[in-house]
Amino acid sequence: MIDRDDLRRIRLFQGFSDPELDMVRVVAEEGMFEDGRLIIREGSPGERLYMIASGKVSITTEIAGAGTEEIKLMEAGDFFGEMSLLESLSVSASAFARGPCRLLWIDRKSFDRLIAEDMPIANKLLKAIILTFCERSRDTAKKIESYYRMSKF
Amino acid sequence: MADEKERLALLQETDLFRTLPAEALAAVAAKCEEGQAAEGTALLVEGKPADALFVVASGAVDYIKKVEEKRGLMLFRWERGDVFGLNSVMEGKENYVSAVAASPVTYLKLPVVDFWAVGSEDPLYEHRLFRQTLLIQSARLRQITVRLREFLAKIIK
Repeated sequence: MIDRDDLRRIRLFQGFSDPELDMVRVVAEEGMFEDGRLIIREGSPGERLYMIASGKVSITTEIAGAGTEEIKLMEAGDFFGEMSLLESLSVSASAFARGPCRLLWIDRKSFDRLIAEDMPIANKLLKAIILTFCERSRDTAKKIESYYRMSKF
Repeated sequence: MADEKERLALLQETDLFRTLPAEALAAVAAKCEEGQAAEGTALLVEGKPADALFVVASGAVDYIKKVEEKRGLMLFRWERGDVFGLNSVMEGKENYVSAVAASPVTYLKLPVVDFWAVGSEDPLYEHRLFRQTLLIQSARLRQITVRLREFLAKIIK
């Protein structure tokens, strides 16, 4: 079973008590991914919420006429794949291991059960995802600003 | 929007509040302040702390990201039933964009403290607000990512 300390380092679970972390430990799984391995493919159905225990993950997207571009480099403690779980939509970007990395994940069924069964856990999880979304929106707006400036050269 | 019924009807149209039970919705309606703004008025100012979230009742509001001293890029346009100011309220941080009336606008304004009071009333209310917030954010994040890709494609080409 996954160590509590591994979960505590994930931003999603900061502030979780030991019993709350134990509920997550029961449903979370883990695996090693070697450098360059595809973790999720843009356009595929999202089935897992991934969390980075160690290593780095490159989030990429296909730009028409230009090929694959990295839009974000995620590090230990970050998580991804939650958007498609929440909306039941396809994955909006691909994820590749950048160097060897250890990932933890929760599948859709277990995620839905966690959210449905325990309101305090659900609200903590949702709040953590909301704050991450806020940060991503802020970052994306900043990137648009810098891309705009670059497009002027 | 002189009466309570109209306020409730508007709140029920919003993705954020529509899943709240009637009594919670009525409490939100009672806390909202009504306002009007002329075209060009900034309702949120980039870099300033967020003190409320807004619901558009009529007219249109643009979300503008400043890119040069006197130039901004429109990221979103909000119309009747849209809620804006949500991210900054959630984070308790300054606004990262400005919201500017694109036409004469009428709106409801819910102070931050009253927004959080709804959720603290009952964990179920909080749960529903959080779930709806995520759906709104997720859709907007997808939209803003499309804009980002457009800019990236421009630079690369």
